[in-house]
Amino acid sequence: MARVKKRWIFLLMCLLLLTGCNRAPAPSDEEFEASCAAVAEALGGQERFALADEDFVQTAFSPKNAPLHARVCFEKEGCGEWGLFFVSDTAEAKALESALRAYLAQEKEAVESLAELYPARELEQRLALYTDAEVGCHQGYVWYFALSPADRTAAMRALYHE
Amino acid sequence: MHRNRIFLLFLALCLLLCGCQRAEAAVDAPEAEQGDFIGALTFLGDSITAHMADRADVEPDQLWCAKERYLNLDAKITYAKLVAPDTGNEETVAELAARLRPRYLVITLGIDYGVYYFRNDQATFAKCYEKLLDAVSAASPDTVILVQSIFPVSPLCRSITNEMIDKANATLREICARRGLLYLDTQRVLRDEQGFLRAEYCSSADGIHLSAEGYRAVLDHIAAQSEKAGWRG
Repeated sequence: MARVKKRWIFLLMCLLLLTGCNRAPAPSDEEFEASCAAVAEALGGQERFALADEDFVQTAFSPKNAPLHARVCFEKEGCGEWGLFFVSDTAEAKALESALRAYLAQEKEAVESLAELYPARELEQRLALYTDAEVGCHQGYVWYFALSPADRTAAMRALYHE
Repeated sequence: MHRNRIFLLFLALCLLLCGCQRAEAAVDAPEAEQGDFIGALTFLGDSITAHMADRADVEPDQLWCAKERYLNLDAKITYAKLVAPDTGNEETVAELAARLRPRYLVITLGIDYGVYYFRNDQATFAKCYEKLLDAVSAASPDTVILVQSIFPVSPLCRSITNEMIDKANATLREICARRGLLYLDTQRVLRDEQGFLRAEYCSSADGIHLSAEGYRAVLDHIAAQSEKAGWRG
């Protein structure tokens, strides 16, 4: 009897451990801001970007649950954009990553159809941003960088360094 | 005596001529008023609005459009850059509205992105449109916003159908009813019996853009709505 009880307790502890592994410790507001600031600095400074409002994340990506932290920025002088998010667990991170990829695919498709009607260098550049965008997730952080190749590299370096 | 008669005849002739001019002025007044009303409008939109510069009887400074002419009705609409007609600089719609404070703003948006990508998601279409309306109202509370229906397309248009446009226009109608805005149902004067954009109003192979004749029909319809817009001259 005692052995059975121990077995159940052991199984319960394993279950709790596994559940815990799916959840990354959430950064504080300051820590998340620091990550965003590091990326923005690597891209030439926050003044280069306009900050999207909270409503944009919900409208554009339709996440099942709102991310714990979210920052989306649009290039003021160009068409580049990037976003950094923190979600509570692995499953949500994967879901948000899929939503970001779907959003970028839709944007790319829209630019392609515009380019058919209005062939222009600016549209070709925009198309490249969405085609080559970097999307990923790691330990609760989810990101996308629809930026020039140099900016993408700088942003990823800043993210991982953080 | 003879001179008096000549004088009286001369006076009668002058009075007659003055009367004729007044009659002509009375006939011209409605057209002049309509022209004044159109002249008081600012038009915000995508390439369909941008082409008014070449094909419609409006001044360039009445048009708020993007540099490349396309303007998506999507979640980023309030971040989109428009070319300020006075400076040539790029500003968001809120920045323009706050600075220029147009008396009337006619918004014609949706054919770029919105109609197609939100064809099965009118809630998001409405959300994006209302985000724009909120931005304009906040930046320039005294501006009278006129929401113009999205225009029909011809059979030449491959990706967008008039069924999609009808859905979007129904959403715009509902938004206007809820917010107390004037809805300009211009699309109905542009349609043929089958519901397509009339051939004589279509200028391009993509089936979307209007000819000069099409823009005349648009402006005539808008002018006829001047009373509803509260136009007082």
